Amino acid sequence: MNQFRRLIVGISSIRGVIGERLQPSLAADFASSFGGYVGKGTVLVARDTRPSGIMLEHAVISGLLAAGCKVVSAGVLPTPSLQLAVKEYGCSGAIAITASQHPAEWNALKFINRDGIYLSDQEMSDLFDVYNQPEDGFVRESGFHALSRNQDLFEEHAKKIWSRIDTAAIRAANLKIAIDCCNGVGAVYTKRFLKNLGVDEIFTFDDDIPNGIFRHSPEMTAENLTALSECVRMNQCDAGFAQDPDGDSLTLLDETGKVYSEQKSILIPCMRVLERTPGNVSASIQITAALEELVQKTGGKVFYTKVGEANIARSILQNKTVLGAEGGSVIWPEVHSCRDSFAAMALTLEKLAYSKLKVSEIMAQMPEYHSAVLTTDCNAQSASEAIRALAQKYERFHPELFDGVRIPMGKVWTLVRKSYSGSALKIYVESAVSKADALGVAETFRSELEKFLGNM
Amino acid sequence: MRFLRLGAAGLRGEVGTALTHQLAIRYASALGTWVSITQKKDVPVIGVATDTRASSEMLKSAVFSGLLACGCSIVDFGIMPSAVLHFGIKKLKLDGGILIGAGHHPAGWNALVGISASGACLTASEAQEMLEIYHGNVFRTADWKSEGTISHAPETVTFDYVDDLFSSVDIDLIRSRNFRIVTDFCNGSGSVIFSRIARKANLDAIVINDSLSGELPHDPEPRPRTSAQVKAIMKPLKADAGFVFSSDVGRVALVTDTCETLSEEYTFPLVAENILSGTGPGKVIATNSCSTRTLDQVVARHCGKVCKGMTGETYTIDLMKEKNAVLCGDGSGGTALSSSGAAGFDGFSSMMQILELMARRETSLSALAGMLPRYHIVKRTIPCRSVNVYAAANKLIKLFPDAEFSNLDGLRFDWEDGWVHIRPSRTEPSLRMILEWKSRAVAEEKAMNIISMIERVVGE
Repeated sequence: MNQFRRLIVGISSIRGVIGERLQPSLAADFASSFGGYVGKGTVLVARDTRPSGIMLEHAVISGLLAAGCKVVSAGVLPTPSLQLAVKEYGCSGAIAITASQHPAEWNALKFINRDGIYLSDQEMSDLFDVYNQPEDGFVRESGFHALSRNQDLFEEHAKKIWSRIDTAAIRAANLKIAIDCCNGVGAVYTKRFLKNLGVDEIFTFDDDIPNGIFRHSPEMTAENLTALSECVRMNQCDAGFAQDPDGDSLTLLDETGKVYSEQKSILIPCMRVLERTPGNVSASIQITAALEELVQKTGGKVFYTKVGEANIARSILQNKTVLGAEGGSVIWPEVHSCRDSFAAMALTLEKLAYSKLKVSEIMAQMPEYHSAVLTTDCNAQSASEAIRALAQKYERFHPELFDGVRIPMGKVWTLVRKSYSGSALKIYVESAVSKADALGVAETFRSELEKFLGNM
Repeated sequence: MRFLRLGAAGLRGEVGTALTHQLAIRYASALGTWVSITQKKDVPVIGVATDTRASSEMLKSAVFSGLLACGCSIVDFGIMPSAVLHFGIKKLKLDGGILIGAGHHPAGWNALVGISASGACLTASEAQEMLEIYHGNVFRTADWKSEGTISHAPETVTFDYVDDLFSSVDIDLIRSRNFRIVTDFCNGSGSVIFSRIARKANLDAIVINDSLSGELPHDPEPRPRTSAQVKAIMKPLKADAGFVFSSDVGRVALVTDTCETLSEEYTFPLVAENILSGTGPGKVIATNSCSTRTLDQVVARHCGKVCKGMTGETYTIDLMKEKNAVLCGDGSGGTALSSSGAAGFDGFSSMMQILELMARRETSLSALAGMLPRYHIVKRTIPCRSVNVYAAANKLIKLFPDAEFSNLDGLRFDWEDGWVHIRPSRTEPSLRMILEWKSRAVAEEKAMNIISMIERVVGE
């Protein structure tokens, strides 16, 4: 990656490479600005298991204390548990220290507001405004509050899920599950969570006290999950679950060890939510069309949002939807409006127990879509112009334009949007026909884009 | 105005306006970088202790992040007297340390003090190297796989400290007397380990201001005026001695059995009296240029020798080592013994020496204090911005042409019956004036004249 792009202001977060850009002073400054931005009060701090998390945790705590906040340090904790705790305890906000599925050398501060949801673009720009003010608002000796610790915040989160799920049915189904938490936060919590849900037998790879050295790249792709797949097959498990390092995303494996894509992994828990409470759904514009089919069958509609949890969570609250989704992540608002792999696991298990079907059998009932993703290099300025040109050309399909351009074309839809780094365009295609069809459409769009870009 | 002092004595300042988490991270990063270079260690181990001030937890978090970011491991001593950290760094063979605490500074202040592998505060030359790194602002950075960890100091280190404390006195003699004492810890770190000391030394101790709240019950500098609370309960309790400690236990002032609040200047001469008793002539005592003449006379009585150097704990400890002295200390109420290899002033050590003196002589503290040649001492602090303070001091050099003059450290003027010392403070933005005279009336009159002269110069 370009050496100047090693610190990234992401959606609701500041992400950087440890030992380079994400230094303790930067983390402390953002923390003190955040403390001022949320108006002091109680701020929670938690982290995933990355080794650099301890250093950043102390930097963040010092910044928050200096801003006059009461700080509760929650230690290693899943991000959804942290988000839920902010709401439950009436805190001013929280900072999660995690780079989620990004490689081990990265880490990030993620900012959570008083509702327990990630800061929106507008709130982030307000935070930057505070950060860039020359006058500091640091408290004097008499303004300091104590630092306290709370290691039990996961318990609240788990109880909220357990109480909503039919654990007796899961227990009766005698399920065998293999889990791979990548030595992330799940290594500390997931095994006990599943035991209490009623899972009969659990196979794990993770260290009991994870040192944060990931055994494989934390991206939950099939190549990274071969060991888990093998484990599912060898032990004749009913399913496999792979969690990302901070426990907000989940990848599903069926009883044959097949690893489902992040778009497909969400379908069973989403289906279960819609069975329990039929209604409308909020989803990222990037979501699989299979979800829309499921929603339509139960009489609901999908509210599409910009990519990013912050946007989906706001759509859920605004439209009072019963479910939120983006690739790899399910939001179950009954528990909390945040991406939550623990809720996703519980819903998946309940579906397995009630249907008495195998994972592959349930997946076979799902609407089938084939996907393809291609990228093409370009700078941010020409990317915007190319997207506008594309929208004009395909006007007859009524494209959606609020985050890149999404063009529904009957059995095929495509989404073209800027990559996070801003230096490329990503082309997503889903086709109900075949994989080859999806790839063909993606290639057509890429050559069209390259033509636009070449003509500029 | 923002008050910040950075130098060999550490990083000190008013919290929030001057001493911030940002500077603390930078100071810790510089110290961690310096230690890794000088100790040639990939993962140096740094001891950290704090006092009880409200801002200490914030500074500790900042220091931890700075140390971890430059690849250090941390041994966390928690809330602990400074002397235990000095001792523990040597005992546990750590590579360095940072002491977080305001010590004698007023409410609102705090400080970070760097400590080397010897357990002592950085020497002037070590501090210079470290500050070059600090000002260069480029620090060692550990990558994401850093092996730096945080562990807690073993409880045994405090046991070893107490054993070490007792090894330099006749502890059985002290035990046999079952002294009743009053101690005032100024809500600082002293009470963390005091109960063990009291129990093992068979002291009947009444402890006041022993909450770890960090709220100052009085001025934290041991002084006669800060001894009022102890003084008030001495008589009803029929106590043998009262000890008023600074919040980091470095310094101590005494209250006698007759309720006299002794000047903190007399702690050191009394400790010297005990150390020199029964030793041969020629023993060396190290101090600075602005401590009481009482010390000179006590040492002279025992045919010892006083060596004077720069003002400041670090300089005084260094001087003790350099001159092979048996004891060092200064007029602030702090002393350190060479026999225990003490690396910093230790009020507990001063207390044990004074109790031993009372036990050996089988006499009261008031009687011992009565034997001291007394002077009347006046200490004043004249606020002066850091940018002006050095120029102001220079203008004062020609103040008294009739006196014997030395500028070894600040300005010292000596006469037959007394002396005056004026120097910029190393820990606060001010000039300090100390004046000592045989007669109280003359002392007060001279002090008033000199202060108005200084104020005129500072105000220019």
